[in-house]
Amino acid sequence: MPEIAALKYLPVLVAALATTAKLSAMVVACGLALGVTLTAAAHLGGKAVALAIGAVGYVVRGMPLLVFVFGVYFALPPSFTFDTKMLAAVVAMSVYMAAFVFEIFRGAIAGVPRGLTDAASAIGMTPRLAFRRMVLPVALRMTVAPIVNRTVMSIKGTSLASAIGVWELSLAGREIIQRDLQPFQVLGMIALFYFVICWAVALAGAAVERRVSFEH
Amino acid sequence: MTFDVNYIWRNLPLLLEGLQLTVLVSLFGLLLAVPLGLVVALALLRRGRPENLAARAYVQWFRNTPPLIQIYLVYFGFPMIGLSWNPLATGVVGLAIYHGAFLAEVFRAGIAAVSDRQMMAARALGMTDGKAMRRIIIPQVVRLMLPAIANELVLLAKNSSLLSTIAIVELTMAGKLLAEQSGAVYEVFAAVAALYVILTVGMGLALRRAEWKLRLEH
Repeated sequence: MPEIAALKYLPVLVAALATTAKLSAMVVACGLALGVTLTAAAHLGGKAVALAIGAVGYVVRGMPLLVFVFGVYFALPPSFTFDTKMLAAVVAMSVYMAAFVFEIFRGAIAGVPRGLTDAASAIGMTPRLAFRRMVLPVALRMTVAPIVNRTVMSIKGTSLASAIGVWELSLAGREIIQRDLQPFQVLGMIALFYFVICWAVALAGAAVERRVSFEH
Repeated sequence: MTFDVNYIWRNLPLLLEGLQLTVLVSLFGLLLAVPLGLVVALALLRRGRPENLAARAYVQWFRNTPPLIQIYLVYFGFPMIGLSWNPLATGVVGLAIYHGAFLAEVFRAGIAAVSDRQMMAARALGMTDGKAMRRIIIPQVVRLMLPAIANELVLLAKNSSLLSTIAIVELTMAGKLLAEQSGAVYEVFAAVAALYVILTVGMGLALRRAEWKLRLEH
C-alpha cells in the first residue's frame, strides 16, 4: 500500500500550523491596534500629522507585502539572542496591515454624511459629543466588512514569512514537497488549514456584520 | 549607516529589467484572469445548476487560501501531471487562478446590476440568451467594472512579487539578489519600493484614462 504523504507528515504540518496561527494572531492584533492608534493620532494631532500618516500609509499600501517584509528583515541588525526572522515578519506584517486599517477607518469616518453632524450640532451637541455619539457608531458599522476582509488578507499574507525563513506552514510544505514529491496532497492539506482559518474568520465577520447592521 | 544614491543609479538598469518582467507578468495574468472570472461569474449566476456549485466552491476556496500556495500548486504540481512548463508560465497561471476568483465576484455583482431590463429588451428584439449576454450585457459590465478591473490589476502587480519564490527574476527578486550581493539593503529596497509605488499609481492613472475613453456618450 502506498504511503499517504499528507498523513505521514501530518504531525509536522500541525506543528507548522501552530507557528502560522501564532504569527497570524500577533499580526492581526498588532495591526488592528496600530491602525486604530494611527487613526486616533491623525484625528487628534492636527492637519500636519494626518497628512504625514496618510502619505506614509499611501506608500506602504502601494508596495507588495513581500518587499516590505524583505526590507524590514534586511534592515534589522542580526542578533543571536532573539529570533530576528519572526520579529521582522511580525513588525512588517503588522505595519502593513495597520496602513490598510488606517485607510478603512479614515474612509469610514469621512463617509459619514455631513447632514448627520449638522443635525447633531443643530440639537446642541458639541463637535466632540457628536463625533462620539453620531459619527463613530455609524462609521464603525461601515468598517466591519472591510476589516474582516483585511484580516483574512493578513492571515493569508503570513505565508510570505516563509520567504525570510520563518518555519511556518508554507515553508514546511515546500520542504516536504522537495523531499517527497507529493505536491497535491501536501499543498492540499496546507491549503485546507488556511482555508478553515480564513473561512471561519469570514463567517464570524459576516455574523457580526448582520448583528450590527441597520437593516434587519 | 549611509545612503548611497549613486548606487541606485548605477544599478537601476537591473531593477528596470525586473520591473519589465513584473509588468509583463501582471498584464498576462490579468489577460487570463478576466475571461476566467467572467466564465465563473456566469456560472455563479445560474442557480441550481451543477456548474454553479463548482463555481462557488472555486471562488470560496481560492479567496480563502494564500496565493503563494496556489503558485506552489501550479509550480510543483504541473510537472507531476506531465505539464513541464517554464516557471514564468506557471507563475502567470498561479496568479490568474487566484485573481480570477476575486474578479468572478466582481463580475457577478456587475452582471446582476445591469441584467434584468436590458436582458428583457434584448430578448424582445429576438436575441437568444447567449447573444444578448455577449452583445448587450457583457460590454456594459466591462465598462461598469473597469475601475474594479484596474484595482485587480494593481493587486496582481503587487502579488506578482510572489513569483520571486519560484526563482523568477522580477522586480522583487532582482532587488533581493542585488541586496544580498552588495549589502546595500536600504538603497535597493527603497528603490524597489519606489518602483512598485510608481507602477501601481501609473496603472491606476492609465486605467482611469481608458475608462474615460470607453465611457458611453451621453
